[in-house]
Amino acid sequence: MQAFNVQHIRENFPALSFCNAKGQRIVYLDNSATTQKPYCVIDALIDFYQRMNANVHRSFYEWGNRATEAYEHTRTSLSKFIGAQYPEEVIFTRGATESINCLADIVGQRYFQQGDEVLVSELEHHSNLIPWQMQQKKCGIQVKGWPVDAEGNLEVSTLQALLTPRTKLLAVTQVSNVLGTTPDLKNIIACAHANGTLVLVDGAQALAHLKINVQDMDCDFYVGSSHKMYGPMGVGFFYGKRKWLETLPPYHGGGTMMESVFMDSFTAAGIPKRFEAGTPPVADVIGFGKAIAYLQQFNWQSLMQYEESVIVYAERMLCAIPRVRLIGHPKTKTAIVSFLVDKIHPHDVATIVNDQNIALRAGHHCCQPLMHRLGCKGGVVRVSLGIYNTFEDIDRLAEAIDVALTVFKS
Amino acid sequence: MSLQDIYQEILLAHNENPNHFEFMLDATHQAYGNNPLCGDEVTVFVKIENDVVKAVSFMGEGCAICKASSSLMTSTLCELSLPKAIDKTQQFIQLLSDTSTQIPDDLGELEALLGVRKFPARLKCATLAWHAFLKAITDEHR
Repeated sequence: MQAFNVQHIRENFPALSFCNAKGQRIVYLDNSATTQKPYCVIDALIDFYQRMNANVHRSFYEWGNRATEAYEHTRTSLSKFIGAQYPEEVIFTRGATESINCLADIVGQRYFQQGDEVLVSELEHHSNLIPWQMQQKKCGIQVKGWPVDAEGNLEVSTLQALLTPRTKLLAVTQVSNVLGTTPDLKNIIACAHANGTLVLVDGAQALAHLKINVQDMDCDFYVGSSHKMYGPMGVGFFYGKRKWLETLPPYHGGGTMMESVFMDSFTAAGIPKRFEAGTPPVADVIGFGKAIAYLQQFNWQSLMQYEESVIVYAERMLCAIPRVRLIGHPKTKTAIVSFLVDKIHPHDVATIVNDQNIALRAGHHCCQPLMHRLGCKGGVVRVSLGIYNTFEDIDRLAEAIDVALTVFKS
Repeated sequence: MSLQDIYQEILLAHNENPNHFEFMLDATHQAYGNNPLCGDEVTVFVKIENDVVKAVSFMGEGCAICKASSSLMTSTLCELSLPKAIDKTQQFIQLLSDTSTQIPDDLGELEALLGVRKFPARLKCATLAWHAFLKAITDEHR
């Protein structure tokens, strides 16, 4: 277990030494969109294409064996990383979005009937809302919203009132990508289960920041993306309890997902292959495995404490700037803070801080219903931390916002 | 590229006090434009009489670039014949989108928006109202 030394960590990420034409070092505060990659991940991609580029699960030669072994190794590491009971409960996809689309489709086919309801929290990213809305037409279900309160919390008490005998599934995030809210999932899931409702948890924003244990949480499905946890883009996963996955139909048809094929029919393979048709992004899955190994070397208590100290510092520094207002005030949160600067549109803030080589995001962050609820139709400016951000990064941000105030002096 | 290229005084002034930032009761045409990726949205109102653009106004929410560009557009297109207004709009969109387009000498205040050519991420902000104008005048049903 490594002690948490942020300067040492920064040396692992080559992109963080990038400087702009003015010689200013990059301050990367858009980790909710995607994280930077450490050398070990980048090297794994190169190594795969140089030393074992072969397809998985079907080659009888050495490279194929190595590729398959490395690919399956990621499945095993990931299943341990999220606390799954079996490796085959983890299915690789192109990302969290594809995972939810796939699950909405196959869970819908198997379990939804006309008139059933899916409850979706207002904190959700569009990717955990639209796939369910798309099922409305396909299965005749109805999507209902679970409102957040004015501070951005999801309360179990309001959930209870919304659950009905027809609520088949609850879709809820583990970390809000706008406010950083971390809902009390254990209680939420217990409450849903008491009603016979399945729960899908969107872990995209959580995996790099919180210790995950899907068994302890007791969710039925869990999704995530590699690129938001220091791994390559283009790969993600879903977890499902074995007892559910075994009952679900395949999503895509093609190679790997079948057992026997005839001209007029096929039989589907068992899990996990049933859900992994076609050639997967092998190099990226292997790189994903390296990212997990990278994260596992840290003491998570220290990692979480460090990130919390930086986000608390960021909130304090932002509050001290005149005309800056923080958005939401969740009871429990992690790694993310959103704000507005009075009379300066979020896009203009983002463009001006970019001039100081600070990368952050402005807009509605794929959460239009949440923006409406919070009364922020024009969007918000978001700071989202990674493991490598420092107090100095926050100081640089505060200085850059001062520049914005000067440009827009009025 | 520097901040002064994009946030020129004149744009900041238009952002602060935009021209024709109002609902138009007697509009003959109107259209809504939005940029779903960032949240900018404008509604452009147009009054056309005898194939001449008699008035243009806008409402909505957007960044300084979007607002200033909308404001400049309302003055630019006023009193132009409809074909000329369409021409001017298309040329302006082309000018900002394609950096190889030659810069005409008769831009007037619109010149202040040329800085956007160095900030491709902001192109949509700067052209949103102009696209909405084109949509408004081609929308038969208002």
